[in-house]
Amino acid sequence: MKKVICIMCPLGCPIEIQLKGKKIIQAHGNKCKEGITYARKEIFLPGRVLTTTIKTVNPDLRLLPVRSDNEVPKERLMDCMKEIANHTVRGPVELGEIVIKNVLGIGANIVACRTLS
Amino acid sequence: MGTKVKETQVAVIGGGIVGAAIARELSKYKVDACLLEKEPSLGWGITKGSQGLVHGGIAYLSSRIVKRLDTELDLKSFLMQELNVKERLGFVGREMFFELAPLLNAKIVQCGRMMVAENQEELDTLKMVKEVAEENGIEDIEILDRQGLEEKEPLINPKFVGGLYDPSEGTIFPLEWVIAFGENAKDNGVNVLTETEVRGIEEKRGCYLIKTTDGPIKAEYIVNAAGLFADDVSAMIGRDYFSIFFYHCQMLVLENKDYISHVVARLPQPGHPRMLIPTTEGNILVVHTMTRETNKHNLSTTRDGLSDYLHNIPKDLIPTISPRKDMISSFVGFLAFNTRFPEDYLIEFPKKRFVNAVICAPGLGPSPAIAQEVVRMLGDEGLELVEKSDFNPYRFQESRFIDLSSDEKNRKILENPRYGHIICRCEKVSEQEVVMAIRRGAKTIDDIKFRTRAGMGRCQGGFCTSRVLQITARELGVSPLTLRKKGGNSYLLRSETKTLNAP
Amino acid sequence: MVTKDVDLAIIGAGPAGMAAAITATESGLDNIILLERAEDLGGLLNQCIHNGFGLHYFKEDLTGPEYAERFIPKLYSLGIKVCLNTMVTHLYSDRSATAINKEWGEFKILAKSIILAMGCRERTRHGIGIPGSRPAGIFTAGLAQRLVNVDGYLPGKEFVILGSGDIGMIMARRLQLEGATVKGVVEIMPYVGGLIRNEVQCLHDFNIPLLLEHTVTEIYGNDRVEGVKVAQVDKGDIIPNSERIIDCDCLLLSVGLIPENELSKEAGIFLDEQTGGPVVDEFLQTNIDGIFAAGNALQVYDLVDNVTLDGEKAGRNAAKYVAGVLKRGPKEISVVCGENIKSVAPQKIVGFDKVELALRVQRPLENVDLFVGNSHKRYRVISHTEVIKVSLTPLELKPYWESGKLEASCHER
Repeated sequence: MKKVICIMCPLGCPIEIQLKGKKIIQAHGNKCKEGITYARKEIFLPGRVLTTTIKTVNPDLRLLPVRSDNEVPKERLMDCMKEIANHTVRGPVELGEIVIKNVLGIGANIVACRTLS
Repeated sequence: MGTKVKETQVAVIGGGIVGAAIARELSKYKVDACLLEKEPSLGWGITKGSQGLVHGGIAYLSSRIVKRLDTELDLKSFLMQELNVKERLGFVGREMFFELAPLLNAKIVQCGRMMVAENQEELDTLKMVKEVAEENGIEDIEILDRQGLEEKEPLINPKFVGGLYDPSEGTIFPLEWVIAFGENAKDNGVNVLTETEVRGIEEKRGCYLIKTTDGPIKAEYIVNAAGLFADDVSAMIGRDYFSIFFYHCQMLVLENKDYISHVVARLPQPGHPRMLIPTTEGNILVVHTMTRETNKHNLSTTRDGLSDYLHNIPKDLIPTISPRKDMISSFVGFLAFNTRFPEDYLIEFPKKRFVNAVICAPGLGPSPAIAQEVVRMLGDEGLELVEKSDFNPYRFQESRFIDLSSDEKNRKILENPRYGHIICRCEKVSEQEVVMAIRRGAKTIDDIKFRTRAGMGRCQGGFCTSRVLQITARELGVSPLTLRKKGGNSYLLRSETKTLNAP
Repeated sequence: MVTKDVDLAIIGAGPAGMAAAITATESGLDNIILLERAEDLGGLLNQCIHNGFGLHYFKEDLTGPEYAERFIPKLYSLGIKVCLNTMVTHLYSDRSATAINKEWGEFKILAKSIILAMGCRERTRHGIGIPGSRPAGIFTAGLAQRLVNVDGYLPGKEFVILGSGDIGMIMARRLQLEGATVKGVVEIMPYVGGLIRNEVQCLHDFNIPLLLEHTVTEIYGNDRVEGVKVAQVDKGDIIPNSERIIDCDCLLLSVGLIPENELSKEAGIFLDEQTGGPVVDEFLQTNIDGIFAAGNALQVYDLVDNVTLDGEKAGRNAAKYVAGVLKRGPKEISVVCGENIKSVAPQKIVGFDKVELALRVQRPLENVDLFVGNSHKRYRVISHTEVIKVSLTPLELKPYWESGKLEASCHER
């Protein structure tokens, strides 16, 4: 039995899922189908977009806002943060440019959210 | 911190309004003096939390009414009693404030005091106060009828039937004056030592050896102006014949949306200072609660204190005030007294060359006169007072940039573009004013705040804090991590981001 | 004194101001000045490095800076005059203003039209009267966000956050990601103040306790915050003996936004107590002809997408106003808040076209019937954080011209 709060709409249905191995055999509490889809992903492959900052050498913008261009596995968020803390970026960097490729090999790049001169 | 001092002639312990005024007074003479203050800036003891009133005669006389409740005397006889030290110095001190204002470039606003009466009995009391005032040489006191009240304060509660007006009352921003006294004293040779706390005093071969947190200081004379801690300091020389007892007062700062332009007060009641004070910066100060307290370090407001009277005092006087909506800030002030003379000042030498300059509330208005008196007494005690020919009574201080005319502003911006960068939206403070405060010695965010007003407006630093930290770090050449809000360990920032991997 | 004669002066270059500037230019105005007090364009978008922006407007999930970058290059390419580090210090009812910057010193602006886009300020510790000491370590969430995301500093190591609005929850996550500990988010209401998505991804993900129906009753610490006292409340009243102390070295306050309208007041613009911003008509025009308001200065919005739409509307209408083609009639309909409606804007309808109203409800509601006049809509759920949009055609508005009053109300079925 796993519990998940669906975030697809403001209702925020608390959904209870009965699992047998990797199969959902029963779901309960959702008010629409989206809930099941969300619950399945959230239980088996919970991922989060990581948004943070990265150090630069630019005195006018000492921190560059960055994001992961894909979801990062939820349990690897802090590892990614530590990895990003080891990097310093040198401009110029364009909006959307990759600043760390395939961070920690998890399948997501860290990209710039604004231009850095 | 100031130059390291090993020896001095006069050590003034306590950098509040009295200590700073005494330091300035001493600096007029060829006397080697130092001012010892335990906080990073002057005035952060009682002075900081005071009401900012430079009383006119009526305030002193009407406050006698409260004390009278303990005696058998009829009101008139009570009021007619001779002026005590505090009152005497108060009358003189007030005049001196107005003389000093242009010299020290510090602001005093003569706002006047309007006292209101809810019924005939209160009105009769006020009339009697006026009579006594006139017999004491206080002129220009007016008795007001209902219409008179409204002419002066259109929003006054309709229940008040009349009142009394004393045009001589003034308001100041106390810290501005302590800083002014301190800077002028320093310019004239006094060593001002901040973050220097006195821990003990020994007597050695006709001299005093003061043990401070920054090393020992040998002094011939000591002035104890340590305010809340004056009893502790007096005890250091074995003279613990008095203690300081005090009241913890929760003060509210409200936005003055054209509510009042004079001090508006009811007749005082014990523990109920029923008064609204218009500050020099366009706010209203209310003394909300007044409770007996024994912990000298208790600077906390309380839930009861903030809520209990929240709708009472301000609305009782001016019904349209909305305390919750109009509240900008709250803080704690102390009203302190000494057990030796519970109504008065204690200015005397309990030992040779050691003078207690222990005052009580009210202490702001009389402070320049107290300073003169204490220095005179030091002279009588043996201190040689030879006037300096090069004493400079002027302290230079720029007006607030935003108050200048357009032409003046533009001239200044041409000279220094940093004046054109306004970093505090609410109080409209320019970057250069922050820089000047730092150059004058401000090292803490609160010091910058009190000197420039950056952070004192409606957003309470929400916009400017980041900028002030940056500017201060740049000017002092330090990391923002070393910057403190006030004294002790009040660092604003804990660490840099991106330090997850740090050990 | 330098004087700038302009067709349109926009105060604030956050999302509302930027959208207004672009749209006004595209609508034909070419003498526009955009005045911004900070060092760059974008307003708070620059420090909102999290995602969730643009889901409606761009149909993409963007971070704040990315959202801002959709507008900034366009602004510059249109040749709009941008004044950064410029503080507007006075605004007058004749559409003149005074501002200060390094280049022009104190200068005068004479504008044919003005758009107020100053955004909000945050409610402070004193604004809600939390008793206790005054140590270092008390910050509003927005200031903390700036310190962390722009300046690069953590203002504490162990946090308590008062208020579970989105900014509070977002900061809870941000602080944890940077290695701090958030010991709890304290919320006075029985429900969370922001989106469910944030409750899950900011609080649940990090095991941060959410204390509903609680509030901070005292702050401890001499030099630096040492702890806060937290108590349970019942309908706003503190439950006696429910207090306990949480040790922490930093208190963040996420206790409400206040539209920043000191300039508006100075100019004699009427404000609405419910929204905190100016009273406007459907053109977003205030009681002073030619002065418009948009974005968070008008009312506290939930989504930046709505702020952009506001800015565009104001820009379009300012251009129309300057061209003399902003049509309105002699009569007016006042829009009033009925049952369960917290605020509505515009508060007045004066024109002949379709009108869009933006409403907020007082508390979260389920199975809602929403009435605006006779028009009726059903909602499965309405959050108190949402701005609900309702459109009315001229035909639907026709019956209300006589009484001059249109009420919005809603209730749960």
